[in-house]
Amino acid sequence: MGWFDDNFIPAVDGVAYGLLLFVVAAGLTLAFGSGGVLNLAHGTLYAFAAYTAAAVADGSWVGLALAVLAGIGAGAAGGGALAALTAPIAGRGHMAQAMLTFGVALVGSDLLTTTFGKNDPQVSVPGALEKPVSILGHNYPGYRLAFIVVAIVLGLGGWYVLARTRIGAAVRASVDDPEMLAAGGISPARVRTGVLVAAGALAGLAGGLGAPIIGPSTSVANTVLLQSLLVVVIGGLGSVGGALLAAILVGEVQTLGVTLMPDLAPYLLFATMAVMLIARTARFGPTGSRV
Amino acid sequence: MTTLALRARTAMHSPHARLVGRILAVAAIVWLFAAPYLVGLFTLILLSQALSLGVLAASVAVLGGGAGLPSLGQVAPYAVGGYTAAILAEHGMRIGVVHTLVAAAAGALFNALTAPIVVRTRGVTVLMITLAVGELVRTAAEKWKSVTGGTDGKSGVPAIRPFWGMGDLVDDVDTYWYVLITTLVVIGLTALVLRSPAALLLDGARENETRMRATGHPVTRYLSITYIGVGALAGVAGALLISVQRYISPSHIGFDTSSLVLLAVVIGGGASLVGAMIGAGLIVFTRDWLSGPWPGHGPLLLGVLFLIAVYTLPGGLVGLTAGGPRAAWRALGRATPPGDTTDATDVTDTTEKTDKVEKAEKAEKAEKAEKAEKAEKAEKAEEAEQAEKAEQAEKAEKVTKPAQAASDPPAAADPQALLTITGLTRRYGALAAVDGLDLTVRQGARHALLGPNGAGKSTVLGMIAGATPVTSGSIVFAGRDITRLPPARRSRIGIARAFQQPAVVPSLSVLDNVTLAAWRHAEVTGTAWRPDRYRALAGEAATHLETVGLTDRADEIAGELSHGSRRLLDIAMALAGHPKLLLLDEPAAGLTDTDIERLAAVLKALPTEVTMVLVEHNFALVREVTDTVTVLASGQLLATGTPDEIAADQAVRDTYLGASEPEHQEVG
Repeated sequence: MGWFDDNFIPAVDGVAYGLLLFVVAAGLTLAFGSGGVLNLAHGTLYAFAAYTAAAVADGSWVGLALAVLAGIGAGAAGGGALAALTAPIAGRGHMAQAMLTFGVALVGSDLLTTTFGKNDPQVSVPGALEKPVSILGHNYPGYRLAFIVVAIVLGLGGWYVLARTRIGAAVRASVDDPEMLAAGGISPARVRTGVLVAAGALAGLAGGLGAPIIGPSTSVANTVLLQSLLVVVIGGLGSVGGALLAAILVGEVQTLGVTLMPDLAPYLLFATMAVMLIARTARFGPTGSRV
Repeated sequence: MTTLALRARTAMHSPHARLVGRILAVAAIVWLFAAPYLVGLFTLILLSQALSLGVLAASVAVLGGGAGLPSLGQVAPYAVGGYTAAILAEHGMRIGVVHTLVAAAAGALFNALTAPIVVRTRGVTVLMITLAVGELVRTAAEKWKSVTGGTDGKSGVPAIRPFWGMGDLVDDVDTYWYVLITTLVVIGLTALVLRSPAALLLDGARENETRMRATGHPVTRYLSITYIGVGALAGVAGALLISVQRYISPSHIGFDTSSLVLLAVVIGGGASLVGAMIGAGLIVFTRDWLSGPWPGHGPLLLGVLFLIAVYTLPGGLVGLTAGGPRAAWRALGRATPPGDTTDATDVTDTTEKTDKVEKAEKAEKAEKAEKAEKAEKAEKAEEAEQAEKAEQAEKAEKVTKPAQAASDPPAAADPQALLTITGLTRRYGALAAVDGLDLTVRQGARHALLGPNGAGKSTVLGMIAGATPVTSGSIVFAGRDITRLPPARRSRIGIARAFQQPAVVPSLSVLDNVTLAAWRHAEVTGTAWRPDRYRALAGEAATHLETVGLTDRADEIAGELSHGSRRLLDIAMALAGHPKLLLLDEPAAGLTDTDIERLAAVLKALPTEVTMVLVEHNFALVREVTDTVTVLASGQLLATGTPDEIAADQAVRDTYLGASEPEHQEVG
């Protein structure tokens, strides 16, 4: 039981971390799968939302709610801006758009540092959530537990919207065949904008809720982008279940892995990705599309 | 990147642009040699840095624009090269040439280790993977303190000397000369490689991988070799960095450097070495120039430059003005003497032309994707409809009758059999597109596969060619079990394929396309590095263009051909491998009557050593060119016989023939 005792907290931490990455990666997949934009500024949207949330949050419950809303708003606004910026070159293929978002990421990170300063802000959460919660005799940070619960609720809600509503059907259709959707009378340009705004909102939601977990800092944009890209690559493009598993895996490697094997943890993620890619392509041939 | 590269490439096509490009390149080199006498010391140091970064950018350009693998991770071999050089110098090995070579080897070795992951992916997935590879190396550089010095990096690296017996490079002017000459040598060598016919292999791999595999090209190997080669190039860039600043730390190999380099390539224009070098120079100087008024805002400036470049330079600088070193090899494909009038089309307005090519290619891609998807959907839908048990049982009954009538002995031990298919099955989930098919194709046969949409004909061809994995069953070709052989291997043992959607390499000339297809099958060897051998091969390949009647279009760009001509080119490419077995998937679809006549003549004139399996809806053509017909329905054999027997068979007429033959209007 000693091993279990030592590693329980990092393991639960990993779940929280993983779920957070899952929300971010969901936005990334949505933007790429449906909007056709590999958004290299996705981490920047997260950072923008996290900074905004940190500035709004004042330790009260209302403050927390406002912070999350502000985060969502910031992310959605960022997504809208990206949609507007990439619209003129949408016809030039994935690469040109990826390059553009890369430029946006560079500009964005600089602007964030200029606006919010170089010091990482502290994020205040309501006192009730800061208190440790006792599970099986272990004290566990309340906010992360609450986050796990909220993330599960959000995940179910997201699934409901995608699987059971008209909007969800339109989004799924636009992933499969945007031209078919256009033939059905729904403007692909509007779907594209909507999808990028929604993807931004997901990054914003993650940033607003996750600011106390992966806090705003000068390097957070790159960290979050890289790890959510790993989630997408490991989980397989377009696979929600795969992305969820991959996100938890990446989360565990980041927390449990660091506790258990501090020297190897940075390479573990890469090794996982390598193994997954080799396993997948051995069966299905090269992955990813040209263009 | 494909689009960028294509635009750049097509622009280079114009002889005028090529000339401008050469003049620019020569002028730049002359200026670089004169620089120590023209500019101050500080500018000279910046130039040295720009050259080092330019070599790195060139490696990214070759990988992205050449091989079609856009990378954010070339900082990894760059770092490996840099740290290797620093460690060498610390241990007393301070000869520049040795540094360069060892760093190149280290960079190549690193990329050889990561190649198995990277070359498995395509497009933007490569960006993701390589980003991770770069981050991995940066992390390693930070954590592995005993070797790399951790976050502090390696500072105060001893000065090197270029060669044994020469003095140390303490003076910045000397260092500049060293960096300039090393850069010119490695970039010159790279340019030589890119001017060789081998570059065509990369064009093919980038633009139509399926076609390349189907004509016997081991595409993965080509991509791996390129990836390892650019690893060496990046390694050299790392060693140059050390000789310039004698210091390296994780901050030199992070996200910023990746973005700088990528920006240089975007500015320079996809595939161009000179473009990448100029791009790197522009960035280094702009950054320095702007950091005066706005200190500390490097990323902001970089990002803005990025945005401007993406919006305003779709083809990069090179796309707008000039041709780099890659311009020359296009002439390689010309077997006919230059100066003939077919060049007239080449000199039309470049921008107009690029747009046209791009649109054509895009349209083709969209069409292809759409059709493939629709075909699949249609196939699935039809399969599902026809899977009703009663109907199937009825058909199964009828199979035996005509099969016996056709005196075609069953599979097993037919000494005349070239191709023996046993129990061949392909499932997509619950659906069996091909379901336990047995089929024998005799040596020299002219064998047609008929059947309604969704009968599984194309799937059968795909499995014979190796593009579609077999779920169960076996395929024996010329006495050899090829069920699990990759497509390129099958091509090399004599199985050639013409595609339902004509598969050509759009940016290359018609003749280059056929030459690529003949490449792996020709007596001529050493084609990759010897232009004269390539020309010999092209001369040989030209006979296949004559066969299909495309000789006078040999110099046209394949992507600009009409559908019918592209189809004929596709067939010429299949023939170019001198196949034993030729697989044709609806060759007459979309052809004009004249083209169909031409096609029929081509097929009738096939030598007897070539066995043909033809999927076709045009029964008139089938009657004209085949001697055996097998009818499939719902992935199973319905009937086999001569074309006349099949035409007379009531079961076949009921299911299928009525639909395409005007005299039987009963519709299946």
